[in-house]
Order: sequence, then structure tokens, then C-alpha cells
Amino acid sequence: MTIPWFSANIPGPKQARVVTPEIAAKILSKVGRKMMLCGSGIKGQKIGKEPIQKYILDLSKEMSVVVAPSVLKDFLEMGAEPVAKGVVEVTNLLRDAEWRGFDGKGNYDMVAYLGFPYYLESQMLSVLKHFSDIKTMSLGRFYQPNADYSFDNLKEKEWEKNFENLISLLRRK
Amino acid sequence: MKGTKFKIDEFESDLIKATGLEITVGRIVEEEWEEILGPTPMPSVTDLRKWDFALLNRYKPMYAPLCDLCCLCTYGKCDLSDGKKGACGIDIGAQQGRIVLLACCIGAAAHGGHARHIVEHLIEEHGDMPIDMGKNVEVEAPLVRLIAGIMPKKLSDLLEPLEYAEGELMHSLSATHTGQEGYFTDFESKALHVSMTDQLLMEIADVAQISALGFPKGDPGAPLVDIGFGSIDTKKPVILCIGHNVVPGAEVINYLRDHDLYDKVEVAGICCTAHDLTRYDKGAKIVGPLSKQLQFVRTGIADVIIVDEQCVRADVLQEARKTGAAVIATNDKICLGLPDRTKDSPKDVIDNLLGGAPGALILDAEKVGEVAVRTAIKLSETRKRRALNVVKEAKKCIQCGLCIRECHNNLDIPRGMEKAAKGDLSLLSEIYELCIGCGRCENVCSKEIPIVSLLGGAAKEITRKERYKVRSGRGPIQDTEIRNVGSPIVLGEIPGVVAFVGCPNYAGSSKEIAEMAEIFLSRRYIVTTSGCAAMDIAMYKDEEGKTLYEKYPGNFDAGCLSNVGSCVSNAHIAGAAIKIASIFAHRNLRGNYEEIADYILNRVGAVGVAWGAMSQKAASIATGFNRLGVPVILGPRGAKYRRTYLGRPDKSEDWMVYNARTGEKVQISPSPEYLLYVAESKEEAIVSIAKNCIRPNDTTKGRQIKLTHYIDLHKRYFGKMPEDIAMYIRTEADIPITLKAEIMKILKAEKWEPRITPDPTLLERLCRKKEVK
Repeated sequence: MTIPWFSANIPGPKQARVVTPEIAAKILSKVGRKMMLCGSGIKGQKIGKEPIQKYILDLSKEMSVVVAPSVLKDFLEMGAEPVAKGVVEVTNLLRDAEWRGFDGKGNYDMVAYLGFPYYLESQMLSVLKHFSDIKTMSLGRFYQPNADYSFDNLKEKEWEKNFENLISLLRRK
Repeated sequence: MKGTKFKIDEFESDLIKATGLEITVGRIVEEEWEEILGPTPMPSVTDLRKWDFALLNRYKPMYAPLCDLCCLCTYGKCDLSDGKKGACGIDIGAQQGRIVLLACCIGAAAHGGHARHIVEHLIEEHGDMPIDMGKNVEVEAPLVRLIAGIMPKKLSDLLEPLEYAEGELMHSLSATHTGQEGYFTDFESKALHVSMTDQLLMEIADVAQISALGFPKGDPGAPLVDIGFGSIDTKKPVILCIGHNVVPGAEVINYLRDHDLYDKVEVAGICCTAHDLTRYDKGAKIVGPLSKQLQFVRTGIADVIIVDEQCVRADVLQEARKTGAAVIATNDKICLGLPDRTKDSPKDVIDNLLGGAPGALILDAEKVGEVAVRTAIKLSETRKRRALNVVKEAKKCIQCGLCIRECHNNLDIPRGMEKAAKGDLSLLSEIYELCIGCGRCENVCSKEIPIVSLLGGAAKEITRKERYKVRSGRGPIQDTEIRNVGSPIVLGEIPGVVAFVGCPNYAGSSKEIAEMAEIFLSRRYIVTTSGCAAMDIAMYKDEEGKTLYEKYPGNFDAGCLSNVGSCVSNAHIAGAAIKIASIFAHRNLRGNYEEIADYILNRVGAVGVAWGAMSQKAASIATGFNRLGVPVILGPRGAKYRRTYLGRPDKSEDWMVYNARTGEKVQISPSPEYLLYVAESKEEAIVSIAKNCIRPNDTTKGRQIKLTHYIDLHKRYFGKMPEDIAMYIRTEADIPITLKAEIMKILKAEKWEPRITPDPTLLERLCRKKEVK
């Protein structure tokens, strides 16, 4: 059993299933309406030599992307304008089954979190775990037990490889 | 007269016929206060439930369980995930409400215990002194007046509201017992209730100590005092006071004064006791906020450590033993397993401490003063402060990385160790700046490296230079200041009041709080502060080497920075909001909580920011402000409080109020948008603060000013015009002139239509004219 990155962050018997990029891609590709939430931690993050924003924009072709307002500028400079909202605000919307979504087409079936402070992400995943039917996936470097699916605890380079792999698998679908 | 009983066997008049009538005389109310008594003097747990539900209907709690289990009784552990209920029938939502209520009860109890001790102690030591908040403060205790319906004249008048709050605390806490309350909104209502009494308790404590101990009385020019490691004169014997109850520390100063030792011993403090020591004597020093506790104790600078109550590390005794400092516990809340030496002669206790005893419990503040001073002088002659060899210690590191996993901030300690082992201390020194001083990293270090000490050792040159100025806590806001700013605040011409409060459990650098404060100061918001936040604001200098306290005046006015004081002084920030309703708007205060809170929610653009909130006290303080209609923004760690109160701007039906002029229900802007919000980043917090200062009652000029700041900050930090701007425009006159063309284009695209600016209230009973059906 994987131990959460903050080892005391054991919520109870129900904990996330650890997924590889291959399994994550399979799950995500089968889901209908999906969204990725990107936190302030993506600022300055690179995958190899490329800024992570480039990968996120690639991913936005596959799913809705919502970014933390504090990183919106980076996307605007790249000519993109994703929805920007605080993660607490978005999570609050997500827990409402009646919410129409950012595109007016209804709430989402799965939400992936990336780039948030560990404990903040953990708490937001906990909201959806207990108060919604939405499935969740954590794409950060550290195992998040409150998600339905999470990457394992990874070293920086391992995580970069995982993330890159996930994006390329999703693009191939 | 009080307590007198009499019995009438038979009585008959035109109105009444009674047999066996027994009468007991309770409190004698001398009607010197002409103000009409409102509907809820000393409200019970359920008296303000309707108000709470009005708030909770708009700002629905969002729960983020920290744990899926309930472990509170022997039915459990019960797993509450997947919609399962506990053996007692509780579900996960109610359980979160219950834990929140528990936290608020703990917080209120901490302030209540403090208030009870200090009021009784001060009456015993100084007699039943008159309450005196200074010449420009006639509304001496706005929370006591508002909640209890009493106008206190002397210290003993504070006992009745104190007793009331203690009773409410007991009822509220009892609701958390297994088999009591079972629904989340009622847990929340009780949390709001007990947190309201928490504000009352804080006010009682601070009013008492200001009156009896000669603290600054609403003085905007309270002295600038020293703060920082570097301000401590290590050549002198050093007495360190940790906690929140100033009484023993004040007795140390008294002893020094009485024995001509004042300049020969250094008295310093950590956390709120430090604030209050400087309010008692401007020569006292502030080491810093709570986050500096372990770090400073480890330096061995202190010869004697006095602990009173709240925010004291549980391992202070063990830590002090490592340096040879003596610990004196002085309060029944923190006895640390030490022998009770209260009745022993000072000489015996001192000899014992000098002979190597780790500490003593002394529940007599005057005796503490003598023992601490004499022990510190002697100990400083013999005790050696040992320097740590950082490089040698760092070489022990095996790069296992367990320390990072325990670190709240994921700080890269192993890499710092790796560099330090090669003689480069720069990274460890950088980590020191971000460390909150919890020491959890050391618990998991298999090589037993004293990591916190190493960080301090690496940053020695920085800490030596840590010498700043903070304005000593001024206490209440003057009534005259309220008269000056009441109108521009309510009309919106002063864009807002921002209060930076709370603990130093930051997710990033402690400097962020000073940076945020300066942004709002430079935009001429009223900025006020207290507690550890007030200290961290001081520990930052501009290019000219000035702290914000040296740059900005201490008034409660636009572009000014007022430090009200310690944790219990937070009551004066609530008091200022209440006084705006009372002094400026002439709303009755007495026992009239609901109306005043409704006024504040709809008219007073105030926002609290608890950027590093950690404690249960911070939970109850924030929740108390929420009931009063003041939104609070927490830093990212605040998510671990498990509950936020969030509005839904997309649901127009949630943003209806009565127009008191007509009785009609009308639409308002979604403001304030939240009652309790967690911001992920400093940038998000800054923009949120500006937005949450908007109020339904703003005049068009006021709304223009507030929107100008909101839009400007949004553009600066997020790079674009806010998407929700149309929601905040009621008429074209609300549009900032310089942005008219840009905004009109947005309004046109969104098919915006103008709407009225009501006289807003959530209380139907305040409508002057009922809706015509």
C-alpha cells in the first residue's frame, strides 16, 4: 500500500488507486466530460526543456482546462485564454450536481488536479470524495490518497516522464 | 440586595391575584444607559439561529474532511466515507460541522480562560477599577454592549458577561457530545454562536488589562518598539516570556523597576505576551511570532523561560533543558509536570533552579517576578551558550529525504544539507526564511540532526541583523476616528478596511503578509492588524530600511496601519465595525446583534485576512467575524480547518435582499462573495480582498473606487479584466470613468440591465414599508 507523501495524511480505509500513465490515459480517455485543474505550482515548471503550459495547452484539446488565476498570465502570453478560477471556488461548483459547467453543458464526470500545494489539493479532493459523484485523479508528483486515482510518489524526473507519457498517450487516442 | 428572597402568602390587586408568591432578586440594573434594549441581550444558543441560517443559506459551508473517520466514542472508529453513517447515526457532513464547532469551542475557551484569570487577578491586585479606554473612547466595550446589553463601568461589571459567555460555551460544547446535535447547519449555527461569545471574551480580557495595567488607550501614536532576534541584548541576562497572559511578565518588569535592575536584565517575549509586554513597558523586546519559538529557545539566549498560556510548545521544558535555561510555568493551563513551588520561599525555588532543576510551577505572579529575575542573573553568570558546528552536523545527513516529507512547506532540506556539508550554508539560510519552526523534520531524522538549529546556525548573520520596529498595540479605535471614517467607509469612498490577523503558519515566505499590507496601504485602504501577523508585518524593511510601521501612521484611517495589539485585541477590530453602525449610523447597539451584523454585512467593506491561521483560536476568531458579517480570507493551509463559507455568484436567487425603503426583495451584486475563503496564492488573496470589500450599499462613487482597485489588481496579477465585472455594475454611474468604454462593451455583450441600489437588509423586520402584493 502506498503511503501518502505527507505520511500522516491517511484519511481512512478508502484511498486512491495508484495509476501509471498508461492506466491514467485509459481511464481519462473513457470518461465523457473531464476537466483538469492547474494550480500555482505549475509556474516555472518544465517538462524537459518545454514549459509545462505547452503540454497543458495540448491537453486542453482533450479536456477542459481551468487554471489558477495566478498563472493565467503565462497562458495569455502564449496566446491562450483558459478559464481562470481559484481551486476552492471551482471545487465548490463541482460539488453541485446541478452545476452547468464552464461551457454550459453540465457538470463533469472526472476532474484531474495538477500543481497545487499538497495539503490544499488533498482537501479539495476530499470535498469531491465525500460530497460528489465526480471521479478524481491526481497528476502531481505525490500520492494523494483522497483521489480516486493518483500517481505514486515520484522523483522529479520520473514524474516529468510520467506526465509527458500521459500527454502523448492521450493525444494518440 | 442581590440574592434577597421574599415570599408573599397571598396577594390580590386589580390586575393580579397570587398565592405563595416567591421572589428572588437577581441583578440590579441601574438604568444609566438610556439606549433601548434590543431583542437579544445575552442571546441563547438558538436566539440568533435565524440570522445564522440567513448567512448559511447564502454562504453554504463546503466541507473538506481531514479524516474520513470518527474516533470520538467507543462505538468507533466509524468510517463515514461513501455516505456511511457512524454507529451514532452521524454522517460526514454533520461530523465536519461537529469538529468545526469543537475547534471554535476550544478557541473560545482559550480566550475565556484567559479573560477569567485576568479579570479576577486584576480586581484582586488593583481593586475594582473603573473601565477607562481613553478620552476619545466613550463606547468602551462595543461587544459587551452589543451582545450582553450592558454598559460596563468598572472591572467587576465584566464578570456578568464573562459568566454569560462561559455558560454559552458549555451549552455549545455539550452539543458535540455523542447523541446530541445531528445536523450540519445547526452545528454551524452553534459554531457561529460560540465564536460570537469568543469575541466578547477577547474584549473582556483586553478591556480589563488596558484599564488596569496602563496599556495604550486607543493611542494611534503608541510607541515604536524593538522586534527581532537582533534586538535582544545578549550581554545581559535574558528572561523570555512565551504565551498570551502578560501578568507574570509584567511582574518581572515590576520587580526590575522596584529593585533598580531595569537596565540590567533583558525582558523579551514571543507571541502575544510579547505584544502585551511592550504595551506594559515600551522597553520590553519582541523576539517575534510563534514561528520563532523553537528557533529562539534553541539559541540558548534565554536564561529563564516563563510560560503562561496558549501557543507554548508542549516540549518547551525538554528544549530548555538542552540549553540549561530554567523554565517557570505560571498558569494552571500549562503546568508541564513541574512541582508546584507556589508556596515555597523564592530563595528555595531559586536555589533549586540553580542546582539544576529544570523548572518550577509558580502560580503567584509576584513570586514569578522575583524568582525569574534572580535566577536569570545568577544563571547568566554560569551558563555557557554553545555554538553549533553546522558543517559537521550537516555531514551526518544521508540524504534519505524523510525530512521533506514531514515538512509543511516541502522545503528541500537534504539539498541544503548537501551544500552545507561542503561549507556552503546559503541554501540552509534560505530555508530558514521559509521555515515555520515546527521541528517535525527532526522527528524523522535517523541521524538525529538538530535540523532547526542548523537552519538557525546557517542564518546566524541574518538573525543577528533582525532588528525592526513595530508599533506597540494601541488597543481600541477611538470614537472620533470612527466619526471621521464612518461615512467614507459606508459610502465606499474609503475602498475598504483590511485586517491582517492570526498565526504564522505560512505556506510561503512570512514577508508575503507585509507585501499584501503595503499594497492596500498604498491604495489608501484602512489597514489594521494584530497578533503574530502584526509582528510579521514589522519584519520587513523597504529600500530605505523602514518598516511599514515607520512609514505609515498608526491611525484608523485611509492609508494608515493600526496595530491593535495581541490576540485578544482582535475584539477592537470587530468593535470598530460595530462602532461604525453605532456611532456613525446611530443604530442601537444594546442587545441588538442581528441588526448590527446585518448593517456590517451590507455596508461596512471590511475583510479579515488570516494568512497563516493555525490554531483553534484563529478558527473561532474567523467564525466570530463571519457571524458579524465580515468575510475572512485564509491562506492555503486554512483548507485544513475543513470548512469554508462560499457564496455562489452564478445563482442570482442567493443574492436577494430586502430594500428597507420599500419592503421589496431586490437583486444585489454578489458581495461579499464569500464569508470564509481559502486563497491558494498571495495574488489570489490580494484580488479577493479588493473584491470582497464591495458592499451592496456602496454609493456610485464608492463603487467606482472599489471597482477601480479590483480591476486594476486583477489586471496586474491575472493579466486581464475580471470576467464577473458586469455583476458589480448596478448603473452606468458605477463604472470607473477611465474604463467606461471597455466596460460598456462588456455590458453590451452580456445584455446587462441596470438595477436599483437598495437600502439593503436580510431582515424583513427592518423594512420601513411592506411589499405591496
